[in-house]
Amino acid sequence: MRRLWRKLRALRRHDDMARELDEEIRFHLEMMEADGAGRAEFGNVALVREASRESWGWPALEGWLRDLRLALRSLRRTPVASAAAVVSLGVGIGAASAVFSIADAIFFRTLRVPDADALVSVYQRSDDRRAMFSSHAWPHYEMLRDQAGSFQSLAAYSRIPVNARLGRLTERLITELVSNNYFEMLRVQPKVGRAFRPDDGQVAILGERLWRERFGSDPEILGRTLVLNAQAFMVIGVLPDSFQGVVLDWGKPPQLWIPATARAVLPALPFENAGSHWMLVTGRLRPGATVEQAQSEAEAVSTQFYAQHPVDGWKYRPVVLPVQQARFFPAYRASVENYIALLAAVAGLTFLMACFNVANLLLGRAAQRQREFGIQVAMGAGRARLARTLLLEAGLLACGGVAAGLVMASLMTSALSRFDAPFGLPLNLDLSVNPRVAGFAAAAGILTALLAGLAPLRQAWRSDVLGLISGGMRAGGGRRMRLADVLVSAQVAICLVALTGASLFERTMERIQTSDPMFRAGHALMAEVDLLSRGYDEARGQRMLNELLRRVRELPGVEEAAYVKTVPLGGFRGARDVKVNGAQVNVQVNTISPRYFAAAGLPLRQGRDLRDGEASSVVINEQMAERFWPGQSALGRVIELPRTKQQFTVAGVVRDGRMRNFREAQIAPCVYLPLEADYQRMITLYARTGPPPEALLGAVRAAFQDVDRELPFEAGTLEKHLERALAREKLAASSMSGLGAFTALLAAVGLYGLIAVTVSRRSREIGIRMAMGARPAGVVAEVLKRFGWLLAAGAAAGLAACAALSRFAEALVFGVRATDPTAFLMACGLMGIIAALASAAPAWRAAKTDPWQVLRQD
Amino acid sequence: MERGDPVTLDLLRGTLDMLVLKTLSRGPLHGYGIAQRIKQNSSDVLQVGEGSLYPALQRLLLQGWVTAEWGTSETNRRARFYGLTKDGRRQLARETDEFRRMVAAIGQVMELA
Repeated sequence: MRRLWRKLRALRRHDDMARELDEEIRFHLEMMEADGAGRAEFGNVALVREASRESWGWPALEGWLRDLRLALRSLRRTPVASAAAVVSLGVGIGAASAVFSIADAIFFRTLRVPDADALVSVYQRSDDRRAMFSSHAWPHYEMLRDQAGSFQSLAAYSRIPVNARLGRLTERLITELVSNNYFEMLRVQPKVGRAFRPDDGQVAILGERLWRERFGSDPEILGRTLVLNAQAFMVIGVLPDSFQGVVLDWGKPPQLWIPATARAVLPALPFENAGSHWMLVTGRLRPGATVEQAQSEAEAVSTQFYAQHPVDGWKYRPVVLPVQQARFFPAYRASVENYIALLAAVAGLTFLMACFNVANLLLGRAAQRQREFGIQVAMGAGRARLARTLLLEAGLLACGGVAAGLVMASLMTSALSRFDAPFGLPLNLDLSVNPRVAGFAAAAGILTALLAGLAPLRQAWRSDVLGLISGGMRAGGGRRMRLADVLVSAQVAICLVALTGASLFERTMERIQTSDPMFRAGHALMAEVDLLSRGYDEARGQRMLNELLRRVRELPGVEEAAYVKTVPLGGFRGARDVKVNGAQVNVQVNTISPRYFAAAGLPLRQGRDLRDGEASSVVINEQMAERFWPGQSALGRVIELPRTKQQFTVAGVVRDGRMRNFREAQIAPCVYLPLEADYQRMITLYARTGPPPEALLGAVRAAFQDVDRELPFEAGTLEKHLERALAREKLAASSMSGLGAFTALLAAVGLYGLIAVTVSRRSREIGIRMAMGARPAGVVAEVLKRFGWLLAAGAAAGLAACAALSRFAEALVFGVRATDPTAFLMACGLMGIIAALASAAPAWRAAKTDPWQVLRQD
Repeated sequence: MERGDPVTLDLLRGTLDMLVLKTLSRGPLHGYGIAQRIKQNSSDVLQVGEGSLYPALQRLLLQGWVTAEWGTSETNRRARFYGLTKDGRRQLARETDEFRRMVAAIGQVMELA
C-alpha cells in the first residue's frame, strides 16, 4: 500500500525526481573524473537514466505517454501538413460515413415488427420485355386473401390523399388506406386505443407525430371526430412513431390510417375495378410455409383471376418477395442501388485518396528523419519504440480525422438527405448518425492509421544505423522512395478518374439543359388543383377551374396561365387509345386548357394554340404529325376518342419535349386534348411569371381560397421541378466535381511533397553537377524526368480504371459517351497543369542551388 | 581467495540491494561513495556498474528502505546522501540471514560434490 502511494507520488513529482537524478549522475561523473577515470567508463548515461527512472513505476504507461508527447511535438513541427492531413482524412472518413449511413438506412434497417421474417410482399410483373412491376387490383387481392392457404393473413394497403379539416385550415394528410386486418397481420400495437376490426366503419388511427403536433398529445383523443374529405371519422387509436409503414419510398411517412371498410364515404376509389392496380399486398406466412409455396399459390390465383378478368396487351405474373427486399418498389430498387454504388465509389476513392495523402505525409517526414531514426537506434532505442512512435503519429492524425469526419458526416448526411429525388421517389429515411455509423468511422480511422503508419514503419524497420547516420541524407533516389512513388502514381490515377467523371457528368448536365425546351422556360409557378377530394360534379368543377384561372391570370406579375394534366419531366405520362385515319393506336395523351403553350413557352410549328371556350380542337406534337401524316400538313385532320366517340380536329402542331424524363429514348407522339372536353379532377395550374414565382405564392393561395375555402393548396416552382427532374445528374455531377477538386488538391500536395523531398535529398548531387558546369535547366530536367514517368504511370492506371468504370457510368450519363476520349484528355491536361504547379517551386529551388553552400554542408 | 581480474557487478537484483544496504549500515553515503566502498571492501573484485547502482537506489527508495538527502560532499559539491531507515535495517537483517543460509547450503553442496 505504502509502495503504491510512493509510486503515485513519484508519478506526481516526476520532473523533480528526474532533475535530482540527473544532478546525481553529473556528480558521479565529476567524481570519476577527479579519480582519473574517463567518462567512457561510466557507460551509457542515457541508459542509466532510463533504467533508473523505470523503477519509479509505470514504465510502460510512461513510455506510451512520452511517445505520445513526442508524436504530438513532431506533428506540431509541421502544422500545415498535419492540419491538411486531418482535414483530408476528415473529408474522406466523413464521406465514407455519410454514404454508409445512407446505405445503412436504405438496405439494412429492418422493419421493426414482431417476427418480420415471416412477412412477404406480393407484386406482379408484366410478362413482356419491359418486365414492369405493379401492385394489385382490389378484387385480385380479395381472391388471393381467400384462396392462398400459405398465408396466415394477407393485407392490402395504398396511400391516398385525404383533406382533413384541422381547426380553421384544410390540410392534406398523407393517409394510408388499409385492409382492416393490416395491423393485426403486421402485429403492430397502437400506443393508445385499438387497431381496426373487421366491422369498423368511419374510424381513423393517428400517427404519433400528428397526434403530438396537431393535438398536443391530447390524452382524450379517443372518440374525437375528425373531418376527412367532409366526412366524420372517429379516432380510435394512435400508432407509435416506431412504425412508419412497410414501404420506404412512397413519399413522406403516413400521418393517418383509415380502414378499407370506410370506402362508402370515399368516392372515386376504384375498389370494384379489376384493371386498376393500386393496392400493395403484404402477408404473414403460416408457420412452416415457404416463399416458394406462396409463389406457386399466387400463380394459381393469378391465372384464375385473369381468366375471369381478361386484360388486353401484356399479361402479369405474381412475384413473392421477403418484405425486407420489398421496402422499395422493386422497380426502383435498382436505381437506388445504382446511385448508392456511385456514391460509395466516390466516397471510397475520397477515403483512399486521404489515406494515401497521410501515408505520403508520414513517409516524406520519415525520409527526412532517417538520420534522426539512425541516431535514436544508435542511442539504444529499440526498433519497437520507433515503430510505436510512428504508429502513434499516424494514430493521432487518425483520431483527429475521425473527429473531423464525424462532423463532416453529419453535415454531408443532411445535405444528401435533402437530395432525395435521385432515388426515384422521395425517401423516408432516418439519417441521424447512429452508433453503427460512428463505429464505421472509427474503424475507418483505425484502418487509416494502420495503412498510413505502416509505410514509414517499413522504412524505419529496415534502416541500418551506420547507413542512416552517415549517408541518409545523401542517398539518391534509390529503392527507399519506391513506396512513395507508388502512392503518388495512385493518387494521380484516382485524380484522373475523378476529373474524367466530373467532366462527363458536367457535360451531361449541359447536354440535358440544351436538349429540352423546358429548361429555357423561365420563371413559372405550378399549383396542384385537387377537385377529386371535393366531390364536385363536372359542371361545378369546370366552373371552379375557369373561375380560378381567371383570377390567377389577373394577378399582377402573372404573364400567362393555363392548366395541364401531366407536367413534363414529372416522372409520369399517360397513354390512351385514339382513332387516327380510321385505325386505333396507342399514343400519349395530355389534357390542357387554352393558351397552355403560350404559358409553357413551347413553340408552335404550325397552326395555333387552343382558344378559350374551344372544345373540339386539339394540338399534336411534331412526332405525332410526322408519324401519321408524313410530308403532309396535319392541320384540320380528325382524331377520335374511341371510348366516348368524341371527335377533334388538329388546330396546331407543337414542338414539345420529353414527358416522363429526358432519358426517354425518343419523344413519343402526343395529343393535347382540351380540358373543356376532357374534364380532369386533378390538374396542375401552370403560371408563367415575370418576377420570381416565390413572390406570387401568397397571391395564388389567396385566389384558391377565394374560389373555395376548402380547396387544398400545394404549389412549387418550375425551377424546383426541374431540379427534381435533374437531381440524379446533379448529384452525380456535383459529387464527382467535389471529388475531382479534392483529389486534384491532394494529388498536388502529394506531388509537391515528393518532388520537394527528392530535391532536398539530391541537393548535394545537384551541387556537384552544377560545380562541374551543368546548366540549371539540365539539372531541373534531370530531376523532373522521374516525375514524368510517375505521371505517365498514373495516367496509364487512370485510363485503365476509367475504361473499367465506363460500363457502370454509361447508365448515368446523357448525351455523351462514357468512353468519350475528350473527357479523359481534358482530365490529363488538367493533371498536367496541376503537376506543373506542384513542381514549380522545388524545381526553382533545384535550379537556384548554390554549389558552394551545399558542398560545405556536411 | 586469490585476487583475480575485477568483475563488474551485475549481480542478481537482490544481492546488489543487500550489498548496498550493508554498505549503508555504517552511515550515509552518496552513490559514488557506495560504489567505491563496495569496490574497496571487496578488494577491487566487485565493481558496481552505475547502470545497476542507480536503478537499485531508486528501487530501495521506493521500498522505503533508504532515505535520500542532499548534502555536501568531501569535495564541497552538492551530493545526494543515502541513509538506512528502520525498515531498511530490518530488511538487511532478513537478507543477511537468508544469504548465510544460502551460502551454507551452496557450501555443503560444493563440499559433497
